[in-house]
Amino acid sequence: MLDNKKIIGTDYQLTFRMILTGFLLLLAYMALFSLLLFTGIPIFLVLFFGVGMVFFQYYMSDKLVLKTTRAKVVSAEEEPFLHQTIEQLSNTAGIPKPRNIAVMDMEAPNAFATGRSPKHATVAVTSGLMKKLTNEELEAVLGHELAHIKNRDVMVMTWASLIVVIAGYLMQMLFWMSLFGGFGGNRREGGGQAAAMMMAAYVGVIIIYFFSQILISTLSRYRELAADRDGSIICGSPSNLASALRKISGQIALIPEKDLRQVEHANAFFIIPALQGNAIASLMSSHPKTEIRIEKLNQLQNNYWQLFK
Amino acid sequence: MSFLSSFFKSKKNDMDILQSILRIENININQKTNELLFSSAILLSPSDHDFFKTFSVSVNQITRKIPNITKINIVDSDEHGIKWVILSSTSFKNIISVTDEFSKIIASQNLGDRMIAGIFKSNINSQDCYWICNYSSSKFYPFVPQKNKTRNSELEMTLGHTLSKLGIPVEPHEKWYPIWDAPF
Repeated sequence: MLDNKKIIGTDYQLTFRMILTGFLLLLAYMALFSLLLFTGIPIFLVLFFGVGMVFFQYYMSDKLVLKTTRAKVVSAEEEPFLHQTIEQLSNTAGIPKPRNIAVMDMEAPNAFATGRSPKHATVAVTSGLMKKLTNEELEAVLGHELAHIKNRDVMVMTWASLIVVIAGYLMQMLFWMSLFGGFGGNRREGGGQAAAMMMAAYVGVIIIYFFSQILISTLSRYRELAADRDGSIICGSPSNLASALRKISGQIALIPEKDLRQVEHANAFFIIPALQGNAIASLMSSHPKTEIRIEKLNQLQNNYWQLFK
Repeated sequence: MSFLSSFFKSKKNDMDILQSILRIENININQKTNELLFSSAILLSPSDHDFFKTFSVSVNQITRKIPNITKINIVDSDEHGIKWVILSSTSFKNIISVTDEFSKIIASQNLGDRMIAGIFKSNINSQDCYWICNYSSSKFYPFVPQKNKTRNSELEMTLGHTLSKLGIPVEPHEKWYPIWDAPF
């Protein structure tokens, strides 16, 4: 077994960013609870529903995901390569072999890991992924998924999302209250002031909701980068994961076959600038851009052997 | 617009950039084939212009104005009817300036729209690799041909990424058109 702490080392920049995001999330929680106190909405009631929902999701995540994705749990006899590879990688990572290994009958290349703890983890891959990738690339993707399990990302992300769940409930609650006159109250008893307060709370909750969404997405992207790093170290080859990402993202499939000399008559098209990525979409994205992930993996590959010093 | 204008838009100068390309981290440039590094080609789509009627003469007239050209080859018409001017020089530094000067002169004769691409050849991991500058977009992309008109897309992706990192404008993947059977 690898002594991961010794070998993997720490990406201090990434760790710092995660801590900063966590701190901002904490501020968002504080803002939300202050708002609840301000409006007089019972905190415990909201927490009860929020925590209950998140706990259910956390506890049942593997079963829920297997059911919704229609992934089929496969035995070692059915998929020996998957089982062997996952077992070896789990040993290297120092975690127990995931309880379920599943395959989704889907052409789109993809994979996921879920489960509340390493003992209750599930790793699933699509049949398209197994067809499209070489064994080395598939191993790298599995390493990435096992890194998610090792880093307890399901737990981190589920509980970090609690604020979004609570803010979402509040948003709905305040919306329906506004529709049915809840904001108006009794005008003779200072209902106008109460309505203004509730309106301010509604706006505050909306702001907190979107701010938290951005923070959760940011944290998710950092966890993905950490899983890329740890997973590729577990497998021993960051370049295999970079190669798998290129294939999965479909970038290679975009490369044309037609000769430049044949298309030179359509020169006018060349002037059209490439579409720029939507900044807001990338802010809310749960995964970092493929280019960024590949760049990080290339850097890691270049400095790979220094990790062992 | 200069043929290598995309170089000049970058913070680095043109020499630095192309030399950086050939010193790409983690890629072993085959030193035995060094002479191949100092070749480039300009692809021209012919028209009724007098320049193309006496193509060899016209090209020779231009090359006389440019010092440092060691060798010049002309392909009058390839399988696509495209003309090639292949330039060689004793140093890589020279080949960049030579290609740039040559293309500037062609552009000054109102033939800029006839230039399709500029290509620099190198050898990476014992594989021929072409750095193609699409004149229309002033953007670069790598092309690594293999046997039977296949290409090493994996290596191309890595090289394209490295170009981006160097601050060179890179074509989007869907415009990485191959140029098969380059005569140099």
